Amino acid sequence: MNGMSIRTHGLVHIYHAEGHDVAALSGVDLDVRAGELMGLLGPSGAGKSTLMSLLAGLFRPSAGKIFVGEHEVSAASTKELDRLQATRVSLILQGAARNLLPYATPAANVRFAQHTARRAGLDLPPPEAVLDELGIPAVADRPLDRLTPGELQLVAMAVALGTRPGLVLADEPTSQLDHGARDLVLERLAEINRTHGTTVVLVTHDPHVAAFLPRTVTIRDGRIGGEGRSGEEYAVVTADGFLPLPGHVRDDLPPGTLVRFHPVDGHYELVPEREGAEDE
Amino acid sequence: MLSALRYRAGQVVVIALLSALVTTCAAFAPLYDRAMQQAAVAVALEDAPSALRDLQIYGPDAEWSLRRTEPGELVGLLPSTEHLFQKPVLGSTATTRLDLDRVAPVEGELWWRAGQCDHVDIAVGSCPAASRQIMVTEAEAEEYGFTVGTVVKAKAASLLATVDNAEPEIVHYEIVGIYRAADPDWWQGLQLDGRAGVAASDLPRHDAWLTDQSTFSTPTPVLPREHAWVGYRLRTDEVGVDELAALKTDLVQLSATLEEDSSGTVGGSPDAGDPSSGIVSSLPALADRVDAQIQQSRTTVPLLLCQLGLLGVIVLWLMLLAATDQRRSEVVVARLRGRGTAGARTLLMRELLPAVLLGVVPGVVIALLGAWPARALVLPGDPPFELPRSLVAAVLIAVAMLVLVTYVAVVRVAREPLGTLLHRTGGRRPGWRLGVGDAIAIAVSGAGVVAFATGSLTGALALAAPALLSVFVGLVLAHLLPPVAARLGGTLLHQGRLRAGVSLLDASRSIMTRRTVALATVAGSLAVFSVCGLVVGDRNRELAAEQAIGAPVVVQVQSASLTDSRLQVVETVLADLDPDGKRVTPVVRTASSSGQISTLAVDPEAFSRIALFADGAPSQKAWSALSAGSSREPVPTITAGTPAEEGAGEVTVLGVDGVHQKATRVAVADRIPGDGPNVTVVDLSTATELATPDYESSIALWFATEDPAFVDTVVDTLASEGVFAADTRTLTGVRHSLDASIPSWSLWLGVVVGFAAVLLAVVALTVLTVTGWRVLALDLTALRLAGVDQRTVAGIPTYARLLPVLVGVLAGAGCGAICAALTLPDVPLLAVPPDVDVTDLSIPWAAVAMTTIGCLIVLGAAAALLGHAVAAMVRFDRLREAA
Repeated sequence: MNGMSIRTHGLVHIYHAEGHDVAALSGVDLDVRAGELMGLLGPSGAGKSTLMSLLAGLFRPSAGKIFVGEHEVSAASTKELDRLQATRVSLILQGAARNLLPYATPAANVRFAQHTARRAGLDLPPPEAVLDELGIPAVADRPLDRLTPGELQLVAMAVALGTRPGLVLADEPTSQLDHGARDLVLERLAEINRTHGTTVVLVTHDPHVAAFLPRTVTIRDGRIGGEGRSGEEYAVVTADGFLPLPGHVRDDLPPGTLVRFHPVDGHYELVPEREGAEDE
Repeated sequence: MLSALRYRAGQVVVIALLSALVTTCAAFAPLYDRAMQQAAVAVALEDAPSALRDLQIYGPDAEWSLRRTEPGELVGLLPSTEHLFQKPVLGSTATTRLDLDRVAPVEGELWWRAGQCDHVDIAVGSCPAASRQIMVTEAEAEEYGFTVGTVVKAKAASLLATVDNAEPEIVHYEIVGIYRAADPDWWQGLQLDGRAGVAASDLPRHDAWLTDQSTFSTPTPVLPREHAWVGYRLRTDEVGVDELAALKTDLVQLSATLEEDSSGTVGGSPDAGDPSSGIVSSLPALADRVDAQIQQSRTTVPLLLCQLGLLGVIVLWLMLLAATDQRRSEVVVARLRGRGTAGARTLLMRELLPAVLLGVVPGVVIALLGAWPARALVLPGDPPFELPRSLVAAVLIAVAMLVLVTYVAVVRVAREPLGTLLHRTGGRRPGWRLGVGDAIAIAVSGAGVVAFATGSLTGALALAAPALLSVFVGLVLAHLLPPVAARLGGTLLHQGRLRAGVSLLDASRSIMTRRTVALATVAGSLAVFSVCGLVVGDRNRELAAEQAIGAPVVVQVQSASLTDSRLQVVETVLADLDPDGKRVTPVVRTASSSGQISTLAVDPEAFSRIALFADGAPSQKAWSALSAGSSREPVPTITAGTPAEEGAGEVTVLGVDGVHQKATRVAVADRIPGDGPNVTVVDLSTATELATPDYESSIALWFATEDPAFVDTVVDTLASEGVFAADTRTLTGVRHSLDASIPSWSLWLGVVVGFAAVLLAVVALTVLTVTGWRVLALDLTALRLAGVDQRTVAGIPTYARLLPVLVGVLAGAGCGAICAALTLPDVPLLAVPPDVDVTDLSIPWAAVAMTTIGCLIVLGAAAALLGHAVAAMVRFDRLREAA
């Protein structure tokens, strides 16, 4: 099995900006099975991209642990991270062009991405084969500025997949694409996931994309705010017993509201205490 | 790699151009230095009289070595430089004491030179063709009444005769021809005539007798001071700086060998007047003189070009900062794919280093092309086209510097954490925060400045002091200006002065402001410093020339005796041609036997008007007191230096007859033009009343202006009265000879450096604008959206640029002036230190002001144009681009 699992525990990340500390993640516990295809959802600023960056080892968390496969990414040395990124973990940044050398052709970009992995002794398919796998063999030697946005995104994916990684982290891979291109990108990702068992985690805002994914995790205010499986939305109990409320419920239950859990016939009822009702 | 270069071709071209400029600075230094050396050699050889620059080899004295040396034996003694001379002329020489039945014998030279009769004009008779046949000069024939057929007699060498207790043999010479001297170059400056009838060392002299080679062989007995002789005429067009050095080596070695060979036969070293076995040539001295100038060039040329190179490196650094910032996304790609910092570094180096190195060859070519006008138009003596070895070293150093700068710029980005690379797009740091690099640069440059100011920094390191000072001031200003501008901008904004306020605030938050102020400081400093060096050098050569000659034109009157009568003729002629003494005045100079002390007897009124005193002239009252003297001692005198012995308040001056006279000092001058450090000036009338001018004194005519027609009139009139001019010197000529020196040519580089510094600053401003215009245009568009009118917005980028340019250039001008004051005392201004120090190193404030204004105009115009161009980019669709 090529895929790599992901496990985070009590993940906290704080940014220092303009003299202030901002908590981007405030205790994220996430488990992703090897070979899973899942999405990270959530509003802007919720911490999705930060989580992706931490999973890819771009920077270290302020607290907590991250395991990717057998590797503790949160404690890995720079050299180990370089090796992981060269061979096992690929991050696709938002905006296809940011993943590519602007002056190189698609084939040259894939070759560039494969360079270190090849030197490490990995047997990798030629760039043309990778592009072929993504259905874009014709663009192998075409300048990047002559590619459509969809082709460009597929090239970015080819670059990320060129090393046959165990984990692909894709940040908004379908943003700025038309529906056709979006569906094509998702289809290819799913195919790679199926064919090679690659674990794929992608960030998206798009409900259509979310609907396409078998599992989604919603990040809200730096925490896991819920999880969707096959169209069903769930709240997730954290490792320390907290249960975040779904977004629409939060509107009804403002901070400070007292609630009670009542077990009723095999399920729980959540009963808020109304101040007026008490007075009555 | 090629695709990467093609992708940002414009940027590659700019980087290559800047790299070319740095290389040009490095490569031009050795080329110009070498050309200056060659020019100095050419000037030295051209100025040197034939007797000094050519070579004469004398064999051992035949009398003392007990054998005659064949001239041919003296050929081939130069191991490696004989080819630098024309075919040698063989000869023999001896001294004769002609017995004319007078009280004293008449002494002179007897010469044979191969081919001699082709190089004199034979007036009467024929060329000597047999032993003891001679030719004499026309003057001598007239002086001593010789005709063709006259037989004269002289004693042979006396050493053997003395040993045998016998009288020296008498040799009879038959005069077969009478000649006139001609072709002085062929005779290598040896004087054939002009001696007949003139006494020297108590003996009357005869001119050179020319005889046949056979005179110097049996049966003629050995003659007094008889030497074999070989004359080598230098092929000056074949002699460059290397050849001159080789000549020096050869000649010193040859001299030592000959001295060793002749030790025990003759003593002492040879000289032109009394040559024993040895050589006569000033080529080693000329080589030393040129070498001294070459040493001088090692101060000025690096001083100017290293600073220009540094400025070029700074501009290139800025360009590379922009280029590497632009490639942050590529670094991210490399790092994301596990290449690490080393891989990212390699990626950028493979793209940027070729661009940088691309400029090296054009840089060398530009240097070669730039050296051509320097060789052809600026430097005399047509220095040849050469590729000196130091060029290779300079280019290698430049390449190393370029690689280093590129590497540091690349590493700076490549080693940034990935998170930072992803989230930061520019290097904008508000407030007073000091980066590590800036802090180090400020600390190093500040320490250098302090070390130099306290005298701890000497030698080559001291040459970097001006650059260090301007870098220090520039960096400090770069960190002081933004907060000050921010505060001032805020105040102005509160007062409702929108454009000025926003401009200052914009300047305060832009990295460009910091970089511009630092650059403008360095460029302004370099331009002002270069111009200061040029102007101070020019001024000092002018002062030195004025001091050396004394007046715009000085004509020396030929005299070895009869000074008194000649002076009367001179005074009569001048009274006729210039009755009021406004155009020319006679000056009678008497020098002590050591030459250390001299007296000038002058017409005070005319002399004070004509002599080039600059600012240190004695008062009119002093001149009046000078002419108020009577015909009795003490003589009123103006003194400079330590003119003569002083005892109990009394001054002693040299009279025009060379005898000391008591004098009274009426004034002290800093210096007296046209003479040495220890001079007294007396009234000519008083001096001639007290003593009669004789051979101890000489007459010169000092002219008020360089008016060749008037000078010719005076000289011709005097000649018609039997008084001849020996030598005419002009201020222009003296100045020209001072200008034709390596210190002068080195300082001329200042013109190039000044222009290049300003040009580089313009390039840097352009680079900074091109790399930062997008962000600025976006900010300005946002201001437009906020309701600020277009006119106000359009003015902001211009004012935001003008502020750092203004501050930087003014600070740079101050730095340049301070650097000039600190450094110029160590910069050679004259090739040879003059006898009288007239050095004036005061800062030429007018030149400083002009240069500063020039820099402000050029850089200000560039800033305004670039600001205008940025303002033109303000469009609302920028906001969509940003989104």
